[in-house]
Amino acid sequence: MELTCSVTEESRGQDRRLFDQLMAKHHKQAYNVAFRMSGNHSDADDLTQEAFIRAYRFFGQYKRDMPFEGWLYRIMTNVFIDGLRRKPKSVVRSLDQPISGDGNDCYMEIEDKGIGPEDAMLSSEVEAKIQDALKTMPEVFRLTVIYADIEGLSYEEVAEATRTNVGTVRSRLHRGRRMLREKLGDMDGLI
Amino acid sequence: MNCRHIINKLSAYLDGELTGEEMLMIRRHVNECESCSNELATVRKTKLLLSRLRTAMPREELLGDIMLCLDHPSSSRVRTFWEAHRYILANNFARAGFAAALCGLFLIAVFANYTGTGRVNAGYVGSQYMAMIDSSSNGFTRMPNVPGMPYCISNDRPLQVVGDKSPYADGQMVVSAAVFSQ
Repeated sequence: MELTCSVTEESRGQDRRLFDQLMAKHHKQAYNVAFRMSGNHSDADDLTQEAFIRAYRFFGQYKRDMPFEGWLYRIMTNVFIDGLRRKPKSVVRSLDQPISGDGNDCYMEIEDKGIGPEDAMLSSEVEAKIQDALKTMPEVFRLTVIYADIEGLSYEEVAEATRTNVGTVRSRLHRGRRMLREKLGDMDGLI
Repeated sequence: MNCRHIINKLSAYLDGELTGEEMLMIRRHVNECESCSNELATVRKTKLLLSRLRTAMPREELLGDIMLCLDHPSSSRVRTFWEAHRYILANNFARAGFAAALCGLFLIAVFANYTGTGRVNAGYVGSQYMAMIDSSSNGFTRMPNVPGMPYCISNDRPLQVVGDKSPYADGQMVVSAAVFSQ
């Protein structure tokens, strides 16, 4: 009996060490996906935490020979969709519009914690424009575009992460890119 | 294959996710069709734009915070439970109240239509209200539309009907008073 307990504890300890290693390796990547899904740092933080906590809870079901990120993305997708079901629809407030119009107009100011402009691959405006466009897309298209075009997953991996088949991924990605293009308008000025 | 079919496959073509034969067919078509060639260029630009987005970085403490949650599963579970249910509680309170009211009404309706054999589920002794008497089974049906009518609380008190009885064609009678014995 004692032997069984100690074996279980040891295996739990090993699991935890392995999980910590995988988490340390993948948490930045996971956070980036979470940020693109949710569109803001606060929700991305919550989404990442919840995904890893849930992943640890079901770590026993993770097949060690499979890529961890694929399994994690599947959990993240579930957490994201669950969160959307629970949350009320967020109010989108434009930064260009005054908060009140009673003669005391004031504008929202948001602290920029991002990296400096010299490091930016795209200008902040373009980044914001793309993120806004992503946010207005229906979730299934948004997730597919994020996994395929931002994370660079193959169609098969996207299908695995979103629990669908390759044919659906192909169609969603095509439609998702079209939606994005329509929302972004002229892209020559953006690149 | 017409342009519509080609356009639907351009994304997969760009990603190299088609069979060799399909790839060749689309390449041939795109070389000859200006409209599809323009469409391919736009899809390519969209993909390029997305690939050039900066990687959003988490705050430095995030990893440590998650590990802390894993070290103390009970606290994280409480937090998770609260996080998971706060929106439901906040947004569905009115809905839950409405559902409870509906359940209440349903129960009232069930008891109100009770047609027992002289035993009732509730009532005040000597209360004045109209009751429909089922003479054939010696039972009754309480009328839910009578104002001030008491609803069920206690169980199975024997019923004794007093007062005027007016026979109806369907065998039911209306009484002006009903007394519930203790």
